Amino acid sequence: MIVVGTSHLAAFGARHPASAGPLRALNALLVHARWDGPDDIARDCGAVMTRSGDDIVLDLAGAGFRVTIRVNHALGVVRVRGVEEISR
Amino acid sequence: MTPIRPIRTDDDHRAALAEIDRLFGAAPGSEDADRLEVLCVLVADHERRQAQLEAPDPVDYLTLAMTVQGRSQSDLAALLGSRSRASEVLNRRRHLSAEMIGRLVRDWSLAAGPLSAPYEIVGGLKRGLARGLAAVGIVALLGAGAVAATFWAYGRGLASEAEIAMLATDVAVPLADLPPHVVKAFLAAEDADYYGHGGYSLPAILRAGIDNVVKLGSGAKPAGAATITQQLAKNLLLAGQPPSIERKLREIVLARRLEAVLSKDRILELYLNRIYFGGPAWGIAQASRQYFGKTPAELDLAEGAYLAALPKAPNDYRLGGDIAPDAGREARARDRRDWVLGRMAADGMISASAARMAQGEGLSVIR
Repeated sequence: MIVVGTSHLAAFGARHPASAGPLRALNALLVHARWDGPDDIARDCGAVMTRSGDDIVLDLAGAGFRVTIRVNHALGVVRVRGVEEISR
Repeated sequence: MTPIRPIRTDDDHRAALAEIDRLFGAAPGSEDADRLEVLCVLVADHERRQAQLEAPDPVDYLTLAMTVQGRSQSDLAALLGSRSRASEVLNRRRHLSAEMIGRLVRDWSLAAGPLSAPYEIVGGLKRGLARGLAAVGIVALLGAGAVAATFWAYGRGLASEAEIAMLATDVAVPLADLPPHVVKAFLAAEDADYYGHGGYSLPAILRAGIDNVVKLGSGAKPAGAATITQQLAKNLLLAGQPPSIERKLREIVLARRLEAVLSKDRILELYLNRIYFGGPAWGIAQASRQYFGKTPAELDLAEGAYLAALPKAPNDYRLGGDIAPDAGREARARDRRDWVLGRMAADGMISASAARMAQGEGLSVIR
């Protein structure tokens, strides 16, 4: 997938060094994902995802953050909309 | 609609992201969708160039993938065949093997690239010592410091195995359409052990290292020791980079990745279709036409050997076309072609009498 908005991941990683590794891993996961439709996201991320309108929230409590993305399946684009801190 | 502009500043970046958000639901096939796609490519490229996020550590990637898929260490143990193996991998006491990566890709749909990056393990002193000693040997013979330590660094930022796998571009001439004597000529000239090595040839590197140490200060051009796979990596993935020890290390890293995802025949096919033959000729189809006015399938043994002689120094051995007649150049080109024929005979690819007959032919290039 084409991933845009990775600046959110980088900025969060700069503020929270302990989360930098999982953030890099998440970016790689998004880049290498093949999500032709919502079912594909559920297959790959079903254990941590919830939907909120058009947004998908990935709750990675173990890594200390929650990330919100939006996906355009037709174009193969993931837009990272934000990252917020959550307690581990 | 305002024209799309390159993204150079933070303001450009913010504006492009805002427009992406506005267009994100554009109907497929619409003008807005086209604009959205271009903007996304530009933003992704900008963010990559800003190097905001490095490649992940394989264990971090595996751990995160397990989390989002809801998999446990027990699941990993079942996949890898033992609890201790799973524990050692997750605790960085053991590297992911090619077989493990294969299972993770096949059964859990993980990407091979992030799992294949080099990483440090804790402990494992014996294994680390053995690898360290091997690396020290290479360092000493090449006369270059810190080679082993820099392999990891040079592997980052290069094309991943997954990206290389997508380089399955069309070729002008499939390998199956080339006469066997032409393919053998290239193997003899460039890489006789091609089907026996894994992308790079340690003996060749050591020989070149010794050779370069012996020639140190003589002004002679350093020996390259590049296998066919390394040459393809250089042409395909490192084009335009000047010769240096750093480029050589990158070649080796990329050659290993090429060998991991492409078959030997496919690598050879890509190489023959992309190598430079002097003048305007890139690839064996253009070279056959430029030098002999033929298709590759029509090349005879002497012609194939001449083409195989060229990649080493294309513009030194090039004849015909706009090159003025030069007896010295002609003799050097013929010597090199005859050397290729001699190698083919010595390696058992052709008979000695066939080599002698071809060596007796003139260089019949189009003048």
